[in-house]
Amino acid sequence: MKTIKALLIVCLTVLTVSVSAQQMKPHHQIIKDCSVCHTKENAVKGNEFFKPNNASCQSCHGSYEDLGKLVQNKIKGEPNPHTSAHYGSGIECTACHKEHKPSVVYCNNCHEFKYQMK
Amino acid sequence: MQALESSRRNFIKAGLAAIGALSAGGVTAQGKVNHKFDKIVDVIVVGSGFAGLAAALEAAEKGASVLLLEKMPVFGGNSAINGGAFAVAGSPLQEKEGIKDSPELMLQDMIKSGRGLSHVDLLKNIVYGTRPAFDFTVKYGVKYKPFVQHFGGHSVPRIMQTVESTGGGITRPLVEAARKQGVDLHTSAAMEDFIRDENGRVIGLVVREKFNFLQKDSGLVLNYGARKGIVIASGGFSQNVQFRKAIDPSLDEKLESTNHPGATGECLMAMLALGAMPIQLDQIQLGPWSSPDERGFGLVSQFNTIAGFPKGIMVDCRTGRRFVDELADRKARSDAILNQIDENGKPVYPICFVDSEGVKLAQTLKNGLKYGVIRKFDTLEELAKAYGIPADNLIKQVNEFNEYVRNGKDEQFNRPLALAVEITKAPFYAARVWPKVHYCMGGVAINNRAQVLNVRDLKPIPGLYAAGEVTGGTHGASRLGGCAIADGLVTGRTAGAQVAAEPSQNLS
Repeated sequence: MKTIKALLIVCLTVLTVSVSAQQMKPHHQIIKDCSVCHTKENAVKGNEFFKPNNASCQSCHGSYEDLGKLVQNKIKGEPNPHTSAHYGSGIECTACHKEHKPSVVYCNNCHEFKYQMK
Repeated sequence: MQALESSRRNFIKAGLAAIGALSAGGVTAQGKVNHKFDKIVDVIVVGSGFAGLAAALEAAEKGASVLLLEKMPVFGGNSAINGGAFAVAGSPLQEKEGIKDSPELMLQDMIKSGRGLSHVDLLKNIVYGTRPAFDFTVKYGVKYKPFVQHFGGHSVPRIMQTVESTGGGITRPLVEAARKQGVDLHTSAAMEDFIRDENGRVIGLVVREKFNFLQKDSGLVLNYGARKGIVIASGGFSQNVQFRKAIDPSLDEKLESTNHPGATGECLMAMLALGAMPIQLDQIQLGPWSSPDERGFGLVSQFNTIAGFPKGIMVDCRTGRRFVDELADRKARSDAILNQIDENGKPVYPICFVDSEGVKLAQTLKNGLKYGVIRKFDTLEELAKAYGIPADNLIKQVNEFNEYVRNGKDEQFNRPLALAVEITKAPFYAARVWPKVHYCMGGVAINNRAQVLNVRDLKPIPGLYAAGEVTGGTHGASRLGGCAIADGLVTGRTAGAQVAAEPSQNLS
């Protein structure tokens, strides 16, 4: 699945001429087609241009479990945000990770965690 | 079909703001809802805390198709961030430890704490439902600590706490269970108003999907229909300073809240606008165990409930003397702490501390020390010095308290000393304490079937149910610790079962 998605991104990158006017994170700038994230499955009443759902992010980035393992060595003793005792997988990726504006740490509505975020 | 007057303005605004909403035919220029629903299910539940999840699961177990709407980008609301402490009358662990308890005893404790304002019929429903609700959570995989705790105002130890020390230990498994049961769960989906039929029955909701809680007019407006009915389990309004200040001017912006940022009460307001009977909205509880040194519920709250209050003491730092029964109910303790002010009305934060024996069960100690909100001292003299407490007075107070523990009787405040230990073993652990707005005892009137009652005749509003913190009257003037989970789960289960048993309306 991941390979197919990656191939798709490459194809779309080659085929698409219009570049998004939206601000994008450096590691996402290879993606030139909005529909990679703003999928049809994700649309409300046919409109895709709302924040993507978790399935959209996780088709490339993996599950919360995968992400928990991935960041375990990078969080410098802070609690693992992807294996939260409060939310588990019941949190939108976009609660923290914003693509077109600065990301935020949702946990810090209460806590004081220090994370390096993309 | 008619919508509320208040909602009509919103409809127009919403229609203008939302991309594509008008073309989809949900709203006309006059703000009247037409008969087209974007989705129709049997039951819609609003809110994903203890009450909402219990209602959704119960209705789904009974065969209803259920849509659950959560306005925040996370499931669980306050429930997911609460301490996971659940008062259960007659738990298996109480039986094992020989603790004599019963729903009637729990009822008496709650009536006492309610100071004459409790609606006893609603309370009864809750206390008798605690053991079945506890079994319900265990069935869905919730894990509890292997010991019973004693919280303030309860006459016996009856608190079961999740192993994670948070209500997330309950909401996470219930969310998973709801998914497995086929409940359609939406985050970032905010209810905006009710849709009623010509007879006044609530048959649907106006909802903003892809809602951003920081931006009221965000998202896309849709109409959802409910053949059997709607359960509102949207929680309290502790974070809505304007609303709570209008109700009780003393609860102004100077007081913080332990609640999540979404606890702002819009669904309560929508029910009031619909004609629901308000009950005791001015009964707003402050949590007496929180700290002025951190945001929200934080780490100190649980340090105090599991260690500081039952096993240590809390003192006025000007005198080194105790000033309240550390295990009194929340209202008695909060009122006493709020009186700790100087001649200019500025807070003089009391200090709660415990020795290294008493601190053993405090799971939040490690992080509390890490973030500097709990401090460690090798001697009582050092502790006194750090907070400016007269050291001689403090040591005298500790010695007196230790004697009370040895004799089994608190001569100062008659605190129950079942779990108390003598404060002797260094190091000592301390935190500053100041109350925060925590829980709304008030809300809409419901009956024992969780039906919302009309303000004009106190009869049920057809198709409308409510459960948990958004309902009023159950706890009267002060809710006991551990009784929000009890309330949420029990009334949620009641609402879910009752709404699932309603006859289906033809909405097509």
